[in-house]
Parts: sequence; C-alpha cells; structure tokens
Amino acid sequence: MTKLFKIFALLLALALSVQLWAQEGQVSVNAKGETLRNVLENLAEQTGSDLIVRSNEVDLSKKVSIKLEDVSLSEALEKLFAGTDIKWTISGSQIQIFKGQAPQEKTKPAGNRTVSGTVTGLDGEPLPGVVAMGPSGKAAITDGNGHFSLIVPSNTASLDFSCVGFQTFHLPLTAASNYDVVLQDDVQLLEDAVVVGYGVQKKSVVTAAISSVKGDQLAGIAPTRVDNVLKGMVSGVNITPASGQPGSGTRVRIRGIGTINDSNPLYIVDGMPVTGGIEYINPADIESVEVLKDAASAAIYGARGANGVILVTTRQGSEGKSVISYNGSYGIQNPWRMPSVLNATEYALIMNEMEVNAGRMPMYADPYSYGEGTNWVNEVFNRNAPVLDHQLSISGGNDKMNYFLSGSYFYQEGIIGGNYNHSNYGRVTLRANNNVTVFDAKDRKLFKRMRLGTNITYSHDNSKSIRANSEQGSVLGSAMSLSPMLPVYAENPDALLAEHPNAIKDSQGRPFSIAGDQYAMMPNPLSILHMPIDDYIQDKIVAGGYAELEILKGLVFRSSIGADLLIVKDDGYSLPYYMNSNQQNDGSTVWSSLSRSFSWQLENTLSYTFTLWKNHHFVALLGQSAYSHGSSYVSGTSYKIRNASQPWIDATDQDSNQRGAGGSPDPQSRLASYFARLSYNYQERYMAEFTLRRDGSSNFSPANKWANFPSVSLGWNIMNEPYLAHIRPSWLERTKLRVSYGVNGNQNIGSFAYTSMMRGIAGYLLGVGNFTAIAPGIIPNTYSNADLKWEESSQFDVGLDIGLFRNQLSLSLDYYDKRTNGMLMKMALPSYIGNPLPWGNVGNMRNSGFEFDITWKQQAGDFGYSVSANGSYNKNVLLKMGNETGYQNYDTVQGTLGTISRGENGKPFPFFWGYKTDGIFQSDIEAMAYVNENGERLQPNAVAGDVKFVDVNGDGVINDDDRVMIGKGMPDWTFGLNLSATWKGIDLTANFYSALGCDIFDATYRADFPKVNMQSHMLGRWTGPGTSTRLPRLTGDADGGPNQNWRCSDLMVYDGSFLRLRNLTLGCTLPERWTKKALISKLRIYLNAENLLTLTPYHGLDPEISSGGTSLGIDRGVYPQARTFSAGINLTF
Amino acid sequence: MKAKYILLSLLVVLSSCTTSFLEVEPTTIIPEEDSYKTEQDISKALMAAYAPLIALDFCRSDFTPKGEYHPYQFISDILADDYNAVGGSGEADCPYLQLMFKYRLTPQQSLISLWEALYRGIYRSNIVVNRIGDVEGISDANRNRYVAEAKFLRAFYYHVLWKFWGNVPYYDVNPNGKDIPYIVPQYTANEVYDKIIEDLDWATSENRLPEAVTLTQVGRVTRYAAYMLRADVVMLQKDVARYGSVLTQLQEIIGTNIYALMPDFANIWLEEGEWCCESIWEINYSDNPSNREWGDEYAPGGTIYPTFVCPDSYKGTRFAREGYGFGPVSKALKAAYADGDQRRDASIMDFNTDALPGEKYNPRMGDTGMFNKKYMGRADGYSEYIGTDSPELNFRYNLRVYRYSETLLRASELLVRTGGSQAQADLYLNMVRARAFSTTVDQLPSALYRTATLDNLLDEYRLEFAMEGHRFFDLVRFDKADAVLGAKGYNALKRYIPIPQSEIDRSEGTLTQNNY
Repeated sequence: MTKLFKIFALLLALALSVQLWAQEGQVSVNAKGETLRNVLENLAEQTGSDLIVRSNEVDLSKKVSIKLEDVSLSEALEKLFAGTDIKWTISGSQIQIFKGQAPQEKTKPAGNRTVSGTVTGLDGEPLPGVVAMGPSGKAAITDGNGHFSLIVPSNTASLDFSCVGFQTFHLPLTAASNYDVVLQDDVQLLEDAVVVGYGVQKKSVVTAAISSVKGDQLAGIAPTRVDNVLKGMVSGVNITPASGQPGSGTRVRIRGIGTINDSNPLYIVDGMPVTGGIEYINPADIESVEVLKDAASAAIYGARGANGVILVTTRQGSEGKSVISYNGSYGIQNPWRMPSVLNATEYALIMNEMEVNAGRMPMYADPYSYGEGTNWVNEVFNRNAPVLDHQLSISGGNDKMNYFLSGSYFYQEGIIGGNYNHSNYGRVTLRANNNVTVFDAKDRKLFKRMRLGTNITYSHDNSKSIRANSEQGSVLGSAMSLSPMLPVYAENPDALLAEHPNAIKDSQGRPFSIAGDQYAMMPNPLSILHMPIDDYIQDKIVAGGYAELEILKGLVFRSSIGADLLIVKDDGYSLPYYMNSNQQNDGSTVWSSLSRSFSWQLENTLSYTFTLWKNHHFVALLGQSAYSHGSSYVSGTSYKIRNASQPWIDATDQDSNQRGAGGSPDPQSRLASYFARLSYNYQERYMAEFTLRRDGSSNFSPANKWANFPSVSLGWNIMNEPYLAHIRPSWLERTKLRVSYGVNGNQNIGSFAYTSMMRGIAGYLLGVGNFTAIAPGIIPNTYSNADLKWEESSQFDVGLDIGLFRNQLSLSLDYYDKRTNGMLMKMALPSYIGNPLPWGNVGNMRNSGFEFDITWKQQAGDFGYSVSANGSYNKNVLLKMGNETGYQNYDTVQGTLGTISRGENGKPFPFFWGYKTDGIFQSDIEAMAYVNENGERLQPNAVAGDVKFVDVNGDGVINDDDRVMIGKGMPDWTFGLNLSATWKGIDLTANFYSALGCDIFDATYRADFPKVNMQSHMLGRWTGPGTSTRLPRLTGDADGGPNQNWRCSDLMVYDGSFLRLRNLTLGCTLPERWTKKALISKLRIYLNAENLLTLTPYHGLDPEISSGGTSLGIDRGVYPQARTFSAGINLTF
Repeated sequence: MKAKYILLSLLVVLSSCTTSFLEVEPTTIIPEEDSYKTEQDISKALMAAYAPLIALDFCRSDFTPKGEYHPYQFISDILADDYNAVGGSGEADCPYLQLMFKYRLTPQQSLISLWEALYRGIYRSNIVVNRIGDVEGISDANRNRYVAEAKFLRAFYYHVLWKFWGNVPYYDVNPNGKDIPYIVPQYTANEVYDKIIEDLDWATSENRLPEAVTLTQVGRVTRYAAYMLRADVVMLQKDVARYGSVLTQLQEIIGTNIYALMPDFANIWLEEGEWCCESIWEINYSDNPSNREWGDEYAPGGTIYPTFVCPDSYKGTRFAREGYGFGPVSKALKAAYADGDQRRDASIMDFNTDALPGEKYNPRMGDTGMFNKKYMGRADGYSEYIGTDSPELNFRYNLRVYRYSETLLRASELLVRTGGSQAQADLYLNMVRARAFSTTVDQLPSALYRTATLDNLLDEYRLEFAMEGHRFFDLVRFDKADAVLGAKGYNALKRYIPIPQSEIDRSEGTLTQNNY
C-alpha cells in the first residue's frame, strides 16, 4: 500500500512540473536545415491553426534553420520570413502564406476557371479520395497522388474539401489556380475509434458489428452500476436486472439466448478476461465499453466468443496538466410502485365469498368491523432509502508518462429491509492506471519506441441479501400473502413466548405475531427481517501490465500479463427461532466459508502496420495467449453458539471434532490460443479482415482439445468511390456496407467430463449400536463422453452505416443470423443408466434479428442537442432440443401451477407453457353446453364463473396434452432512446429503455393456500354474469375448486412490455469566471432521477425480472427497482 | 533482415509445446484407470452399491428437484386397504402418492426418483460383478462373497422395480455409449424375474454368503437374507417349480437356531429391537454418524420415514413434534385384531384411545386418529444428530426388511401349497400367533389357534406385517386383490404402475408403457 502512495506522489510531482511549461498561444521551434513545409506545419500544429499556402508563389521545399522559444506565432513568422518577400496573414485560426497581393474578395468576370492542387494530411502524405466541392455542387476527387482539378464558375468564392476521417476544410479561393490543402484529422472521428480485440480501429474501416459506448456519454448520468452503462445505449444487448435488490446481478444477453447452457457474454477488461461479471468496476473509471456482437469481431476471442464479448477499457491519463475531479451524489430511493393488496375488510369479504362458493358458511360475520388491518407491504418497505456515491480521480501526464488514479465509495440501502440492515450493499474501489514511454526515437530505424503500463484495481464489496423473487419465504412474498387481519406484533406476547420461546422479537423485545399453517411457508416478514443475515464480502484485485516495443516503423511487439484474484467470504449464523410451524429450529448454527479464485493470462502479440503500392494498407496481427483459472475453498460449520453476540465457529460449545468442514481446490481450467488477423483497406474504400484463432482447452479430451475459429468480414465505403463523387447528393457523406461470417466457440463445462473419473463417497452404514460407522465407497463421477468437443456458433451479419448532413445524422443497420450447433448439455438419456448423465454436444439454436442505431446531433449557437435511438429485434428458435421428445420442462412454481415453462423444438427458448383459455363461463348453462363431439362435457365440474379451457388438440378431453405455448419472457423488440441537450452551462439528458413483445408470468397468487391474501386486481374476479372474462370466481377450495381454475394457463400470463424513463439528469455548470478563483476549472451540480416514469400494462411490482428461473419474466413477488432522486456535484480542479 | 529473425524466434517461442500446459490434474477425483485395482477398491465399490438403499425413503432426481417421498413399504401399503388415506396436508401434498392410492397414477408423476435410486443401485452392483475379475490378490472366498453380495443387491433393486413396474429395462453390464448402447432393452416381468432368480440362485448356492457377520459388519447381506428375498420373489411369481427349493431354504433358516421370535412384539420397533434375534435383514439408518441432508439424500445417515408417518404439530413427549401426518390407519385394520393381540397396540398408535393427557396434534387429510406406530418418530429419535439443518431427515430407525416371523409364515404357506406336513404348517403359523398373544404354542387357547389354510395365512400376514409393505403383494399372490381392493378402484390393469414418462421419452421408442 505504501508503495502505491509513493508512486502516486511521484506522479503528482511530475504532473505539476509538466503543467508549468504549457502556456497559452506560445510557440517554440528548433529547425536545422528543415524544409519550410515542415517548419510551417509544426507551427500550425502548435497553435492549432489551418495552414493555407499558395504553393505556386512560395517554395515550400526551401531549407531553413531557425531556433525560437516561447514566442508568439506572429513573432515566429516574422523571424522565419525576415529578409524574404513572403507575406503572411493570421486571421482566426488560419495562417495564409503568399507572395505579392494579399488575398481579398474581388469581383471576377463571369465564366469558368480551373482550380487544381494537392491535398495532403498533416504528415505530408498525399490524400487520395478527398472530395473537393464548390457551392454549385460541382465536385472532384483527388487521385492517388492527392491531386485534384476542378472547373468551377469564376465567381466561386470557396471550395470544401471533405474526406472520411478528416475535418472538412473550407478553402477561400483567390486569384491563384493552384492550392496546397492540408487536412486535419477529424478529432470527432478519432474519438470514434473503436476498441477491437487486441487493437483499435478507426470506425470508418471497421467491418464488424461492434457497438460502442464512450465514457463521456455516461459522464452526465453517473451510473452506479456498470451493467447499466450499456442499458438502452446500444442495440443488440438485452439487459435485465435480477431484481431491484442492491448488488443483485444482471442478465446480459447479446443477440438473444445463444445456448441452453451458459449464455453469458465474455467480459474482457483492459485485455484481461474476468470471471464473475464486471460489477467490481467503478463505472466512472470507464473510458469505453465495446460490445462485439458478430462472429467476425468476437472471433479473435474464438474460444469463448460465442455469446458475444464485452470489452471494457478504463480511463488513462492524458498529456497535459493534471486534472483532479470529484463527483459526489446523494439520493433517496423509494419503490416506483407500491403493491396493492386487500385490506382487512376486503380480505374478509373475499374470504366469505370464497367459502360460500365452496359450499361452506362465511367465515366472518361482520367484515366491515376489521377496518384496514395490517398493511404488510407498507411494513416491509424502507422509505427514502439512501444511496450515496463518492468518486475521486486524478489524472494527467506528459509525453513520457501518464497516470489515472481513482477511488470510489458507494453505498446503497435496499428499499425492502434496508432499515434492518438486510438487503444493503457497499463498494469501495481503487484504481491506478499508468503508462510510461521508455523511449521514443522517431529518427531511429530500429527500436523506435517502447511503452510500458500497468492497470491495477482493487474492489471491496459487502452485501447482505435477502431472498428475492421467490414464492416461499421471501420478505415481499410473505408480505403479500399474509392476512391483513394478523397484527404485526403478537397480541398476547406472554402467551406466545410461553408456547414458542424462540419466537422472533424486535429490538425492544416485542415478539412478532406468528402466521398460521394456512400460510404455509410464508412467515411474518418482519420476523424474517429480524433474523441474522449472511455477511457476504468480496475482495477482488485485477492487475495487469504490458510492454510494447515498436521494433520497426509499424512493427509492434506487445507482451502483457494479467491476474485476477477474487476472495469471497460468507459468514452467517442462525439462532434458535420459531417463525411458524414450517420454519423453526431449536438449535443454533454458525457457518463460514472462504473461497479464492485466481486466474492469470499471458499474451504476446506482434502487429505490423504497413502500406503496399501506396494505397493498400495492411495491419497484420499475430498472437498467442495462455490462460489459467483455478479456485479453492474452505468452509466450516458448527453448532451450539455460546453467545449470540459472538457468532463464530470457535465460540461454540460443539465438540471441535464434531464440527463440519469442507474444502478442496478445483482443477485448473486452462486455455492455450494462437491467433492471427489480417486487416486490409484500399483507400478506405474496400476493407477486408480475416481472423483465425486456434484454441486448446483443458476441458476436452486430447483428441478434441483444439478447435479453429475462422472469420471473414468485408466492408465497402460506397461514397468513397470516385465515380460516385459527382452523383451523390451533398447531404450523403458516408455509406458503408459490411458483411461478415465467422465461427465462435463455447467451452463452459467443468473439467474431465470427457473421461471417467472416480469419486470417493461416504458409502453405507455398517455395524450396530455403538459399532455403527460409515463404510466408504467409490463410484464413477458421472458417465463420461470421450467425443465431447467445443460448442460452435456460426454467425452471418450484414450491416450498413450511413452518415448524413455533415454526419450530423448517422445511421447503422444490421441483420444477423446466428446458429449454435452442438450445444454443450447433459445428454438426454434415460435415468435408468444409473449414474449422472454424460455431457454431450446436443441441440441447436438459432437467433436472427435486426438492429438499428440512429443518432442526430446539432449545435446551433449556444444550444446543442442530440437524439439517439436504437432498436433490436431478435427471433430465437430452439432448432433441436437434443432429446427424443424434442422438449424439456424448466421452471416450476410450487403449488397448483407446477411446470410453467419449457423448451421445445421450433419454439423460442424457453416459453411459458400451459392451458389456453377461452374466457369465463358466464352461466351454468354455458358450462353445461361446453361439450365434445360425442356430447360429453369437456369440463364436467365447471359451473358459472369457472374458467373455460380450450381442447387444443381436439381429442375430446382437456388434459395435459392440451398445454401449449402461452407466452414468452424474452422480448421481441428492445429500444433505447437517449436525448441530450445543452444550453450554455445547462445540460439535460434523458435515457429511455423499452421492451416490447414479452410476457410476464404472474405466479404471485398461491391458490393452493386459499387463505392467503391477494393483490387488489383480484377484486375484478367473476361475481356474476358479465362481471369478468379473465379472473374466475374465487373459491375456498385449494387449487381453485373442482374445475381447477388455477392450473397453469394463459390467465396468469400478462403483457410485460414497458417503457421506462431510466434516467433523467439536469445539470448546471457554473461559469468558469466564478469558479476560477477557487482554482476550480469546472463545477457542475446536477439533479438526477432514476426510474422516474414507467409505462407498462403489467399490474405487478416491476416488469423487469430475470431472477427466479430459466425464463425471464417469472414474477414470484419480485423485489422492485427503486425510483431514485439524487443530487450530485462534479468538481474538476 | 533483423526483423525476420526476430519474427522467426518469436514463432519458435509461440509454437513451443503447449500440450503439457493443457494437461491439468484432478483434485478430488481420480482417473478410473487408477481404480478397481485392489480388494479395498472392490470393497468400496460394494459399499457404494449398498448406498442407494438409504434413498429408498426419499430422494431427488433431475425431474424432481425438490424430491419425492416414496418410503418403500409405504408405497406398497397405499396400494392396499390398511391406510384410510394417504394423508398429508391435502390432495396437492405428494400428488403422486395421492394418485397412487386411487390407482390413478399418471406416467408424469410416476416416482421417477425411486426408479432412479433403484437403477443407481443396479449400476453400482454391476461394477462390482464386472470389475472384480481384473483385481488380483483376493481369496476365492472373499471374491465369491463380494460377487454374491453384489448379485443380491442387484436382485433386490430389480425386485422392487419388478414389483411395482413389472416390465422394466434390464442390464447387467453397464452401458458406455460405445460398444454397449445407452439404450438397453425392456424385459417383460417374467424375463426380469428369470434374471433376478439367476442372481439369487448364484448368491444362495455354495455358501458364498456367510451365515452371519461380525458386529461391525452388521448390515451386510447374509445367506438367510438372500433366502428371504428369493422366497419373496418366487412366491409372488407363483413359480411352483421352485417352491420346493424355497421351502428347503426357509426350513434351513428355521433349523439354524440363529433366529427366534421376540417375546414382546412392541420391542421389535424400539431401538433395542434393531438387529434383534428376530431380524434377518435391515436397512441401516443412523443419526450419528449422519451425513444425510436435504440435497444429499444418498449419504449415509437417518431416515425421513418416522417424520413422514408422525402426526403434524404433535404436542406431547412421546413422539417427534414435527410430523407430516401421512398414513392415517384405517379403522378396519384395527378392528381386524382380536382382543389381546399385542400386535394391535404395537402396530397402531390410536390417539382416540391411547392419548396421554395434553397430547394433541393437528389432524390432516383422512385423519382417523391412528398412525403407524412401528415407525412413528420417537421424541428422541434423532437426539444424537449433529447439526441443525435436517434433523427430521435423520431418524435412527432401521428399516426392518425381513423378520423371522415371515420365515415361519412363508414356510407354513409353502407347506400348505405343496401339500407338505400340515402339522408343521400349523406349528409355524401358531408360533407367530402364540407370540402375538404373549404365550406359547402349547398354551395358546384353542379359540386363538388357527389351522394353516391359505385364508388364515393371508389374515395372519396382514396382522403380523401391518404397514410393512406386505399387504398389497399378499393380496395379489393370493388372487384376492380384485375382491378386496376392487371397491377402491383396483383391477388387473392396475397391477403395475406406469413407467415414468420421462424415461419413455428418452428411450428412443424402445420402452413400452404398462397398460394401466
């Protein structure tokens, strides 16, 4: 630690010294016999000016010698041209160099004139493909030597030069006919550089489908969770939070569900693959996030790219004075929607009605006497739960080195139970990113440049999580199920404690009421919140370093090493408790576990950037990677806690050799890879890229360890074609067509599945009485499958990128078709083979879809705004389940519903599966009349108010065979809309996210326990002819009466589409002249609202649900997301 | 030029041997080729083959993530008439049992976890039988004993499948997917019977199995346990040709004087009754050591059965507090006992008449106030259990599989069926009855004395083995199932329960469903 601070101090000192020599508008030059061109360009570069030289008048190749330090530009030019007849003017950011007459507007005779010249870049290389265009629309394109020639009307005042990747240059015409034009790189477009695997590409030459989010797009919103960084920002990525619980995970799917097996994407952070998600990253440290969506872009990570790759690049310091910035925010959270359940009167009325419907007497004589009763939902929610965030970073650098240091602290209290220290989450992060240029000798032929760098992150997470989205024993699930007649606290505490001494008490010693058996596994939720909770702590260190050597011009060797260390600690205990007859324990237990996982990666790449025959640009990459992952754990358990305030294993009365212990290392999981990539572009017109990766995995047998993952992609910048220059409309700047195809892999299975391994087990008990002992046994671990090999997914992608109106409007479209073959799954063999099933390559899946991204940006005076929208459509089909029946059941819900989802050939994976219904029988006669072709009643037990089920297969009976697809959790469409506007110092951003074409299965009502409470929408039940066509009559019989109204059917499936204003931020940057005095270069204060608005037809607590099953959208009483209002401050020194 | 060399040397580095890098070492498992080499390995393999016996009361499979309750005696008794209902909290509580009670079990619900547990036992027994040949350094006696035990276990597991499902897939060499396909043939019930007998004939001949085992080995199979299984199977199959050999074996048991009836019937069911003089074979359960947990049902430990048949929310001192309330005993069963028959009160706990002051419980479905006292959880039934997570799953109640009284009654029945000595048959029957009335055969009052007839024997089986999983198969064997159980919905088609649908689905069309 002290070492880190030493480095910090050193860097700080360096940065300050750099700052001293940078002063406004001053130039320095030191030339000995250099060309005038070089000197002028150098000066232009230092002052950020455009250089216009009438080359027919001025000889730029003339050698000059000059040495000046810290003088003004005009002073420098004066010295430079002293004693010559060369004149110059500086106007705005333009330097004009000429002889004779100064350029000025003159009335010219009508007619045509020829304008010609050469266009070069800042490096002096001629630029082909530059469009020179006059106001009349006449245009010419530069040839391979950068020459252009154009006939324009004599009165033409100026020409515009444009080229992809360069700033458009506005050339005022003088009497001269020959001009040298120097185009500046387009800074905006350079920022559009895209991080690809093992490199960076200019967006204009990227041929693959890559979505990118830049840190500055996020700066205004200050996201607190890294996976939210992507949400709604790019197409093709579906992100669903597990629940609203702080610190809970997120399900990220790139271009649909690729495999039944593990379809999480691969996360690469600064080149290092990280396991277990990227929650450990402080979002403010992110420079950019790239999503590699198609096979061509992911192919360089062939081994594990099948589910897409998410590349995270963290911020680095940049040359210039050091920048200290602080960002702090504080917010309060509340549920965006409160669940509405029946109050005591409504409950009594409904229970009476249910009993009567079941043919029994009403239970409550005077329902109105119960009033409102207990609102359990109100009892468990934590109002105005705080969330706070502090971020501090220091960055800077000079031409030799740069650094970025940051620290952050984040704390979020849960909106359910946070006030009882349940469901809380805290995170501390530290980061140090450094880069050093060891030498940079431009004039040397060999070993031109060497750079080193390190990235070190440490994060510390502490979470206390409650069970979320579960139909049994979750806090919210209980709150929604318990009778409102039950008081929070026991009415007769002494009697209750006498009967149940272990009843849960609050901090004042008042025992909570105990719910009866009729509520099954749903105890008093406040007693759950007063039970001890596991303390879950994660410490993670991800560290990496690299060295990069430019051996020859364009030939760069890079070697990097990275390590990822994760230590997870989980401590918990339970004391004797009694919550209800189903949940009680007389003993006390304490447990503790510690796991450590460690991965390392070593990579070497050699890249060569070169140009052949002038216009053929190549980048060749050759690389090797070795990756190893291993983990181990120890855990212990003991009983008989001595003292409740010391819940530790050593503080128990359990005999030490009767405590439980476990622990072992897992086998290493290793990957060895070689890869090569060749990128080619011809005048940024034609691009091609070939990638080949060869991976070996320790998870497969020697015969099947290795696999090759090739890909090819092609691109065509149509508008760069010379022959189109004359006919393209002026507003159409760029149009790029991309096509790619490739194959990626997946190896996410355990070790040794291919071979037969023996496992020691505790076999059988032998002996009698005191002689009883365990006789150990051994068995083969599972069935093995020597043919097991990589799962492969192949993907075809075609895309179009268009830039319009000076690239103010940009548009990207993509279509893809992705097929996963040989999904790694347990083979669907009968259980009678007598041992766990072998893994096999079974099953095929297809995802195809369409994506678009549109951005419009405009700056008009002080007012600037941008609108960007994206949308994705994905169609998922499970082509082959890989078993004989072609289906498999997945999610189940306890109670009357049973299986609610399945996967089946030819259908989306997975889908909700149940009976189809056709409304409610409005009368007994209607129920009687529902017969099959033989005149037999299809639902012999049905009466008025019961559900009418459809005999889908028409076999004359309604049974399990009539269950069909009744919905699906994965949306067809997802949309994001991002609006931002700035006016003077005020900025406003809004981020919308929407999903369409998805369903939610509402499994919150437990019909097997008729006495449970229900949500208020159930008041819309059938009570007589015409009252309801969706909710049947309610009955006190378990499972919904003789007609089994509450079997799994489309009645429980609701439209889960939603539109959410995920983030709205209003910021105000104070004028610099106010803040400068306090040495503050920027001070911004902002107000932020998360989840301010949600539009959804769904009645439940949240439409975004990914926890609780294989399928998305199963609502078992989900922990809702919070609506957060926060205020924050950004300070930059 | 230089670049070329650099590139070349780099390539050499890159392509250096990575094979060893990808060879990783296992940590908690060992390659199979390193195993089944020594006698100790085989003995461990045999213990692994015993292990699934423990899971016959409750376990999970991939298809039943929360597990299924299927105490092996209980599921045959709900097919008969001695339970008033299945019990539990209602029709939705263990629906497979509720359906089974009504002979309406569906293929979707058909006890896949029990099926799987039985085949696990078969798979593991096959390993012992088939791999022992590779192992050197075992004495012939030990070799024969290991194989005989494994064949007994294989026969036992198949016999449960055969009893309930009849026509089941059969293999005695484990499939490997290459030379032996994963999909194995389905045998008819008769073919399965032939294979069971083949194993039992081998195991029971040439004294391959010992007469008795040492105290630390109790639980391993003896020759007499194998005789009992063979008697059970042969008599259910009504394989007249083997009656003689079975009778000989049963009389050999009677002649050994190793076994005797416990004078006090109630004591059989106490802790001290485990492996008592009347016990021929039991499945061992213990609360110490106990590794059994929810989620790890195959680990050796206790049983859930006592919790399962104990009343719900019991208040009192005698029994476990948290029973599930399954198995309300029918009034007819209690009424079938004559006054003075000690088996009545030892077999049935009747809260209507025997409750202590303050004793109460929460009546559940089909409650009659009466419970299966033989296995009802005692208040201290898991007092030595270490831990807190799953005490109710860890009762130290051995499951009594074969008792000496069964030897006597079966021998009596075979004497009657083969026209053997009636006096001998009467003696065997009345030895059992005399114990029931706490007397000797000589002093048994004539009103209680019974002649060994098939009808009398059927009655006696019911009284002696009430709720021990006998009744249904006895009725079938005596051709009385239609008459006695017809009113409850039984007919000949209900003899075998449906084969689990998931097995049919996964067997590539080779598995034919029972006509149910």
